[in-house]
Amino acid sequence: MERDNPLNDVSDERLFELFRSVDGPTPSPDFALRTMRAVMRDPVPAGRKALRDPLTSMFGWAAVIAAVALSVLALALTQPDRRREFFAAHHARRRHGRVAHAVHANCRTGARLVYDRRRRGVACHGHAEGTTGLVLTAVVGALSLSALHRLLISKREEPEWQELS
Amino acid sequence: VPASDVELVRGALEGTESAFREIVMRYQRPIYGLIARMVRDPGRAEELAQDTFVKAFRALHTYDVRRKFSSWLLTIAHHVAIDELRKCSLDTEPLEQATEDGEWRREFADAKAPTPAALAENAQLAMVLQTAIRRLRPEYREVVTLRYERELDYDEIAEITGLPMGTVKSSLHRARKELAEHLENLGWSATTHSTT
Repeated sequence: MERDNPLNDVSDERLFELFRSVDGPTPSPDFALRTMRAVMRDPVPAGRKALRDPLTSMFGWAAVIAAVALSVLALALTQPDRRREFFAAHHARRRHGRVAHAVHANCRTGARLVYDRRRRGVACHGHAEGTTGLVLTAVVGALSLSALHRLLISKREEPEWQELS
Repeated sequence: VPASDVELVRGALEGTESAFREIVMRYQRPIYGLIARMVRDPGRAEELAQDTFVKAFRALHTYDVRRKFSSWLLTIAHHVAIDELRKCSLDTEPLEQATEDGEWRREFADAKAPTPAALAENAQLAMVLQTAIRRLRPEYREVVTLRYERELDYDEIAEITGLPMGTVKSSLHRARKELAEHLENLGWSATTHSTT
């Protein structure tokens, strides 16, 4: 221990003892929360994965699936023959409680819809309900894409930090 | 079993938000404590501590797992605090000058230093220690904090501050002497009063 004058110096042990006996500076209680917000807001360096909360991701995927389902539903409801088929399927589900049947019927409606679109091409454009359906589909589709973008694609930037020595 | 630092780093690199949150929770006090001791402004210290974690996340992929994570993180905090001190030219007043113009004497008179008996109280002792540390030069404040608050070895302090081992030892020696003087001026004597 390098001590010139014991009266003017404090030993290592005394200082350890002193520091242990008191509480050091502490950040405010919401420091960690605010810090995480700042970290999440910060652009992710190139080649790195953005931080994601599993719960948020789960809700995001649920939103995407719901949006896709809504798109199909919207398209189905705007075509008279398909609408009848859809409600018939729901009626059957309510009457018999056969959920499987309803799901199957709705899936079939969706598949037919896609097939009909290909077959009929732009024919439905002239139809007022078809136009409404297309607009609705476009909106829901855009929302789905936006949610997918938020989920899958991170904002990236070139790293601006310097290597720490 | 709590996850190790390396596991948390790997988790954060894989994009697990909870892993980096755990790092923040685990190290918020040491990082904030070091910066607060150095810059002496609690509000600014929080901003700089936050900045430290943001920089740490950006550079997380450069972390070498053979190094101690706490040392790596404290190195970033050291750079952040030093940059701030340079930018603001804070605390550059030499000890001798401050003593000569009597500024500290006035501070002592205003502070109404508590009696030795009252210093037994933890809160008061913390205040005295805080005051004594605040009166040290920034480089001494840092080595004292790293040594006695974080209880780091000389080589770890040298690694964090980027100073040679000899400089760390001599800085600590001088810092202890200064600290003893300040503590004594505040009514706490290293040779006569117990802290426990």
